[in-house]
Amino acid sequence: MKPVHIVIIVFISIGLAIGISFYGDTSKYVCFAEADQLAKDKPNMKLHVVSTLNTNKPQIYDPQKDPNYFEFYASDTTGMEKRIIYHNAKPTDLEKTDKVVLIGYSRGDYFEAVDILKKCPSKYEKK
Amino acid sequence: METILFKDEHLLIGNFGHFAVVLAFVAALISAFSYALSVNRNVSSLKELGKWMFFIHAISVVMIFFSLFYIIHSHYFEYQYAFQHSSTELPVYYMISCFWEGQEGSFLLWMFWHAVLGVILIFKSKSWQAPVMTVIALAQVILGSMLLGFQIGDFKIGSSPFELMREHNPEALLIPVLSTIEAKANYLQIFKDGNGLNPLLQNYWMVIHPPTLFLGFAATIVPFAFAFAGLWTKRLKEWIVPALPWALVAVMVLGTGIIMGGYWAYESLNFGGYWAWDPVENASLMPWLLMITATHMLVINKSTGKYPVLTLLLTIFSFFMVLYATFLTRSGVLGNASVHSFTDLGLSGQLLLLLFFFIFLTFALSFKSKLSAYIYFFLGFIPIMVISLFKFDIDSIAISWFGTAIFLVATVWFVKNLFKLFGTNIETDKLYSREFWMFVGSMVLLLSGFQIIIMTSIPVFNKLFGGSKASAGPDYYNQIQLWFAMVIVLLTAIGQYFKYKQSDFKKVLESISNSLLIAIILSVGAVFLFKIWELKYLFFLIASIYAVVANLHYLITVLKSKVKIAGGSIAHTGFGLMMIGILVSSVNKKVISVNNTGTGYFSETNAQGMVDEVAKTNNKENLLLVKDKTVLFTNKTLRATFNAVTEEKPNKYFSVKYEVLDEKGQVKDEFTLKPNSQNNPKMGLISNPDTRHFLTRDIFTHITYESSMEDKTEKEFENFRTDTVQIGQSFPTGDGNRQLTLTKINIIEAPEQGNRLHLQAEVIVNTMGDTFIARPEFISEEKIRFKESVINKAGVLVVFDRVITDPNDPKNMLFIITSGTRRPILDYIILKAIEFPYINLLWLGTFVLIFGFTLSIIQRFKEFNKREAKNI
Repeated sequence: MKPVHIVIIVFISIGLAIGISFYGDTSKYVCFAEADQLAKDKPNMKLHVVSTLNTNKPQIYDPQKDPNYFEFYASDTTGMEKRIIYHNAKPTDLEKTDKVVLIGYSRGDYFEAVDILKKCPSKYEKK
Repeated sequence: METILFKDEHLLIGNFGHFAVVLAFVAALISAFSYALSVNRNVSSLKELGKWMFFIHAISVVMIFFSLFYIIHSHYFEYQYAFQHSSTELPVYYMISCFWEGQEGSFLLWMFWHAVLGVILIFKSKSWQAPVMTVIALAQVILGSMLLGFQIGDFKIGSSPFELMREHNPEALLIPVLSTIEAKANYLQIFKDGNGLNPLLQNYWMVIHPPTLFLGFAATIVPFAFAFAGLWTKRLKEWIVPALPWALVAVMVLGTGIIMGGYWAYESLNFGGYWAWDPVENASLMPWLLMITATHMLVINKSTGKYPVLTLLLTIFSFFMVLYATFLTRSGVLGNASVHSFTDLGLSGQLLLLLFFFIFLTFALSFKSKLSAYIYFFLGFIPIMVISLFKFDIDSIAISWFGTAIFLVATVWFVKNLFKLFGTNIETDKLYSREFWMFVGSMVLLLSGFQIIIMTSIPVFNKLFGGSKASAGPDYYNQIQLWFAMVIVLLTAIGQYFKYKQSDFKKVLESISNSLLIAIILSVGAVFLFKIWELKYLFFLIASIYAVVANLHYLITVLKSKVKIAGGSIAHTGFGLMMIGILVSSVNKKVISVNNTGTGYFSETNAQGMVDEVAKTNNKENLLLVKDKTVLFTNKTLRATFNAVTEEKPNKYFSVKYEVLDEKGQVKDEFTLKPNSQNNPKMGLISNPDTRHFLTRDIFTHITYESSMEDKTEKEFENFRTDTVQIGQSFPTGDGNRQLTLTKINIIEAPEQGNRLHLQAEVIVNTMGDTFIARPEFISEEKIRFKESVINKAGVLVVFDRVITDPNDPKNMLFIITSGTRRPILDYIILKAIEFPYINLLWLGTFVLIFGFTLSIIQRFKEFNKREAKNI
């Protein structure tokens, strides 16, 4: 065995390890029902939910009371609705968004979003 | 249908632009064919034709550029591109940014850089001109086709930047205002202004970052073209020498572009940082990592002739990675994974064509016989294109597997051919040789890139094979990449002490230990200065300091401070500095605006008085700053006052005065930051941060919310209280600041005169010596109605609720009155402030790195010119 071979073997195995780990570690796109199910076994697994804001339901953001509390309702792709709590300032461009990806944890009666990915429809918008 | 003669349109410039697009396409096509035919035949007339056609092509590209700029500059909104991406308000210096907001413009920019590089190569590539220019011209043919905008049946070839708005979107003319033919003909009277440029792009850095990045992307084609030419003309060893300086150019420019993007994000976006591992950022890093790996392999190969197959593979795959990255960001496949949203403009088919055409063409060159090369090309390329262009509905996963299998078999076959071509004989590597350690380093770089490619490609895997995996967050990348970076900095420190082929291990060990000793002594000081205590970060810090020390040590002791030949050492020093800057500024990045005020919906103790563990970890990073009220930050060394709002349309600037305090609480320094926000009709509120740069730290501030955004109607009154009183009795309002007295009840309609009772109360409102009279009314019909009374000057609402009989004295009547006070209109901002310590080391390291690259590029071009001079 030449040193080069050893290096190549070591690196291929690290590469495989990375490839395998990506199947175990990363988050998933789910709907709220699946999120609730998954949260029972793995409460600390971060989940992604593609959802639509329910603008007819009240949104709570009272920064004078708590600037890090924003509550709203969203529906997933199956139409299931859930209360969402986001411990952060209310995202300012939310009204202009139709679809959001909520990243966070299911906490039973509500979903705790730690991140909200907004799809800004205006970019490359077709009018 | 009647023909409408549209008025006020400027069709000439668009026709001219479109003509230039077609000319550029045709000229590139002829140029590619002439150059290709002249290779291996040495017909100088064909080569001349190729050259002149490329010049015509380059001039046409410049003409397209100017036509489009002219349209945007003259505000000809009849053109879709100008309508979509610019407006009359847009300052001239941002008009250039319109080019990179739209896809057509970005492809044009890419083509422009290829054209510039092509013209340079015509003069500078000497004996390599014909095959190298074939590649460039071919790329221009495919890129040029993306601007054609021809419609053939259902297929659209390209998307023209000169398309008219009414052609692009015929429904625009169907709006009610344009119901008559005359109105339609004068439609430009309605469409007087465009949609405008994304405000995030209206930034100084956004004028220079995209062109730099695109030049970097474009430059990767040059080393690829030399590798391709080497394979084609079977100059299997010689291609390394000209490819190396160009690989360095690509790496340097692309790297500079990436850092500029990071700096732009840091200065004008509010996620608080310069890198977020977003797929679009990764898409620029992936080709860079492959190209820097390839560059190191080129250096090894040039000095020792070793690893020829791997060197060639990495060089060509760097270019393929640029094409793949473009596909990722432009095809809409990233969909939900990225905050940047890119929709499919129908160009993804052509992007795949570009990608697979070059892949299979290069792969086919590895065959010795022409016939097998053709068979291989068509057997591989055609099925892949059919699969990727036509979307089959039935059993598409099987088809995905089939396509993937074709691609994998083709790649393995290609690699096998390469080994045959270059010969597999590799002499034994010496453990104590520079090439061995550089090889190890290159493999670590490759792994680092591999990890990013795999993670970023998750949406592609989902699409191909089904599945719902989500992309990983930044922490996941950071935790893995940390270890790669650690090994890489160590290798940049150690590697250079070894000599090529074989070195004296004792001498190497001596140099290594000398510099290591200095590094460890410096690290002790650095640990206390930077406050890095966690073990893995501590190791990374020491390794990075060692890289800086060892490279400087090598520069002084071995290279005797000869800067001209020290490009590598200087670049590695810069890289080490960057790593220290990244480590310290991200590990010790601190949100200093921690909110501990306000009652909160979720306080840390719940109703039972128990500490709520979940709530304890809740984010508290946004702080409320009421106007003119100073707030001391929890770190006790800084306090902030929001003291003014100034408007400069369309921006609103919020002045926040910061005071730096010493241990005794005395103010030792003060400064004002002015983060701004603008309410954009298209995108909502966009806020831009402001950062104060100190030598050893930055204080970053941005507005996450402000009082004028609040929905005030719902919360107009507060402090409601209900009192049961008799006439003549006084009672306070809920906030205790105003005194109310019920003086009289007027009977407007009594029940005897019908079924209706209508009463009016007279309540005297006493506020700070002023008195007002409120007259709320109570009406009882079938339903009970109230007429509330609002005294605006006193800020009081009075409602007359009911009349009851006094339970103690049935003859006496009591009146129930509800009062409320107007919620004071508070000016406030919600602010987030972050401290980045020692981030300047990152920027300093970047400059050193770029300087090192520049030196290497100059040196390597000189070597190429010498080699070519020898050939003649």
